[in-house]
Amino acid sequence: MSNTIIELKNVSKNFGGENVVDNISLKIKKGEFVTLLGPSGCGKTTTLRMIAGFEVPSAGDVLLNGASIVNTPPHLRPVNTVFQKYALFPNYNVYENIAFGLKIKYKREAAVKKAEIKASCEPKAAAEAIKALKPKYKNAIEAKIKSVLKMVGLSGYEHRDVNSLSGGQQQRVAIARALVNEPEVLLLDEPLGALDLKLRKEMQLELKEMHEKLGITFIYVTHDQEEALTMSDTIVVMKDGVIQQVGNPTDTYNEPVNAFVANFIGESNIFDGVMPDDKVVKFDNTVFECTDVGFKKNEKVDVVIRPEDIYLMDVTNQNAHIKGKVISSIFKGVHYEMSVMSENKCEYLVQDTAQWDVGDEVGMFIKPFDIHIMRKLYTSNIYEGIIESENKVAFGGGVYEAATDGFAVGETVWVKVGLNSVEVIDDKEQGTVGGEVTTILFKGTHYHIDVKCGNFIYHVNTDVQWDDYDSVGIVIKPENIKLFKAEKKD
Amino acid sequence: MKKIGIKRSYLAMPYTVYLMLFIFIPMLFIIYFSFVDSKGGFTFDNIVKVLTSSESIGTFLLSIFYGAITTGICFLLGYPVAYILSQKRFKMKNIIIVLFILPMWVNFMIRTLALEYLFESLNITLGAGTAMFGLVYDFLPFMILPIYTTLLKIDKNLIEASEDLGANPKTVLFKTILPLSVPGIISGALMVFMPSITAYAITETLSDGTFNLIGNLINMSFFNNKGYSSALAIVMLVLIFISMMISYKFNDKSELQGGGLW
Repeated sequence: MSNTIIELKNVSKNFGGENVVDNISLKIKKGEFVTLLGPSGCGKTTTLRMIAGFEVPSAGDVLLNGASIVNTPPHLRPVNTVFQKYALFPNYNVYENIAFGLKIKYKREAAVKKAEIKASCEPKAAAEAIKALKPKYKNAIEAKIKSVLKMVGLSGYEHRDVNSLSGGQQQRVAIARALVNEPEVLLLDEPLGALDLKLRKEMQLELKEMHEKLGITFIYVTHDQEEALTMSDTIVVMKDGVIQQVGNPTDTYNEPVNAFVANFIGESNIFDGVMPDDKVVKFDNTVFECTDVGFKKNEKVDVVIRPEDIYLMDVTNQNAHIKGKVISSIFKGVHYEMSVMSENKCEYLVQDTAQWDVGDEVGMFIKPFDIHIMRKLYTSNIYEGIIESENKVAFGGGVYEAATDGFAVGETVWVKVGLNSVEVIDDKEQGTVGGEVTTILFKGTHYHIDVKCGNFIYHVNTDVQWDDYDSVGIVIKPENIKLFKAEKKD
Repeated sequence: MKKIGIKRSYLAMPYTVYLMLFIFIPMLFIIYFSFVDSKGGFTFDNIVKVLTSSESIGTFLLSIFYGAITTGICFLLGYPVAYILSQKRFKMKNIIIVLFILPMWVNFMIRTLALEYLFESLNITLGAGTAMFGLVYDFLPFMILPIYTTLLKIDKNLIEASEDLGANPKTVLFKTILPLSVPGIISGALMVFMPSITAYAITETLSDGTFNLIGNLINMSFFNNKGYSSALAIVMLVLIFISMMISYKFNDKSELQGGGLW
C-alpha cells in the first residue's frame, strides 16, 4: 500500500485551443502540505479545480488512493475546497454555512439507516427508532460545529450573519466549513489573497498548525513565494502550465533548477555566463571559481546569486572579485537593499546589514558555493516551420520573410532565431505576430522576456523594460532567420 | 462665458406639470369623491360600505385569490424558463429571450382581443378559466425577467461551494440556487400579483363580463355611485401600498441586490 493519496498522470487541460495545463504528472503523499506556486496564468488554479472536480482534464488521469476520479462529480469526492473569495452562502448564518455539508451527509446516512431499521423490526418499533435518529444527528452536528469553530477561533459566532464578519473571520468560517466534513484532502485556492499582510501572516501560521494537528493532506495554491516557503512540506513551482520544480522549501530556495524558479522564489541576481571549464564560470567579464561540474566546454549557462550572498567590502580590499559603485540604497528594516553597478555596467542586487551610501565605490566578494550554475532551457528560439512561398516561411504563428534558397515550397523546416535577433515593438498590430509579455528576468545588463503569441513563445533578450501583460508585436529581420532541413534538428 | 440661466431642476418641470395634471389632481378627486355623499356633504359612508358590504369584500377576496393563483402559475411556468435561460451552456438563449419579450412589444389589448377570438374560434366558453389564462399569458414575462437577472447574478463560486460540500444537482437547486434567487422571485411575484388583482380589461374581455375583479367592480359602479367606486379605488391603493412595503422588507433582508425587471 503506497502512501500516495493524489496522483496526476499526464494531465492536460485545454481552454479554447490553448493548453492551460500541459501534460503534468505529480504525486502527493498522504498528510503532506503541498503548495502549487506560480505566477497568475500558470495553471495552478486549474490543476486544483481538476482535483476538486470542477474541471474535467482534456487528457490524462487524476487518481485518488489509486482509483481514477476523473468521472466522479465534485459532490462525491472526499475533498473540500476553501475558495479564494470565501464563497460563503450569504443567505445562511455562520452555523448554517458550516452545517451545510454535514446536513447533506447525515441525510444520506439517515436514509440508509431508516431503510435498515424498517427492514429489521416491527413497524411500531421502527417508527420510534427512526424518531430517535433525528435528535441524535442534530446533536452530532452541533458538537462538530462547536469544535471546529473553536479550532478556527470563532467560538460563539454561530448565529452571526456572515456578511457582518470581517474578511479574516469570513475566511475562518470558510475553512471551518470545509474542515468540518473531515475531507481526506483539503484544497485551498489562494485563501489568504484578500487579507492584509499582518493577518495573512497570522493565518499562515494557524493553517500550518491546523495541518499538523489534523494530519490530512493540504493542497494550497498561491502566487506568493514567501507564503509557499513558510507553510509547505513540498513546493511545486509551475509556469505556463508546466511543472518547473518539485521540492521542499529549502531545496527549492537553495537549489533552483532554472533561472525562472530562482527569480520567482526569493530575489536573485541572474546573469548570462559561460563555463570555460569545470568549477570555473565567467560572467560580467570576470572569471569566478564555483563548485559546479559536468558542463560542456564553453557551455552558455545562467548564473544565479542570491543578493544576501554578495559581500561588500572596501574597494581597495584584495579579496574583492569585482569593483562597482552603489547606485541605490534602501533601508528594509533588517538589512539594506542596494544596487551596485559594476565596472562592466552590470547591475547587482545586494543585501547587506552594513550601510553603504549611493556613490560609494565598493568591492564585491562571492563565495564559490554561492554561485549557482543552471543549464539554460534554451539558447535560441527553435520552431517547426513550413515554406509558404519563395522567400516566405511560416512559423511561430506568423509568416516571415526569409532566404529560402535550397528549400522547396511546402517543405517542412526547422527555424532557428537567436535570442538577440527578435525585435519587440510597442504596437501589436505592426508586428508580424502579436502577443503579450509573460515572463521578465533582469539579467544585470539586459532583460530576458518571454512573449506569448497564441500557442507559441518567443524568447527575447532586450534592453527595454517591458511589463507583465504588455501587448507587443514581434518583428524578425530576414537575415536573422536560419532554416534547417527537417530531418536534422540540432 | 455667460452662464445659461436655468437651474438643473427646471428640466423636471414638464414632467412635474404632467404628473400634477393627470395623476395627482385626479387622485385628489377620487379622495374627494370617496368622502362626499350625493348631496355634497362630508361622510364616511362610502368607506364603511366598501369595508362591510359582502359584494366589495367578496370581490376583494376573489381578486386576491385569483391574483395569487395567477402569480403561482406564472412562478411555476417562469422559474424553469428563467433557470434554463441563465445557464451558460444554453446556446439558443438570446432567441428564446426575444421570443418571450416579443409579445410585450404588441399592445396588450390587441393580444387580449386576439386571445378572445382564438378562444371563440375553438368554441371555448369565455369565463373565469379563460380570464386566468389571459392573465398568465400577459404577465408571464414580468415573472421570468427579474428571476432571470437574479439567477445571472448568482456567484458561480457559491454553486461550486455547494457541490463541493456534497450537494447533488437537486440539492444545489433547492438549497442554494432557489434561496439565492428569492429577491428575483419576490420582485417577479409583485410585478405579476399587483397588475393581476387590479386587472380590468383582460378579465372583462376574456370572460365576457362574467368574471369580475376589483377593477371591473370599480368600473361598473362608477356611473351610479361615484363615492362608492372612489372608496373602492382608495382601498385598493392602500392594499397595493401594503404589498409593496412587504416586498421591500424582504428585499432589505437579502444581501443580493434584487433583480429589477430590466
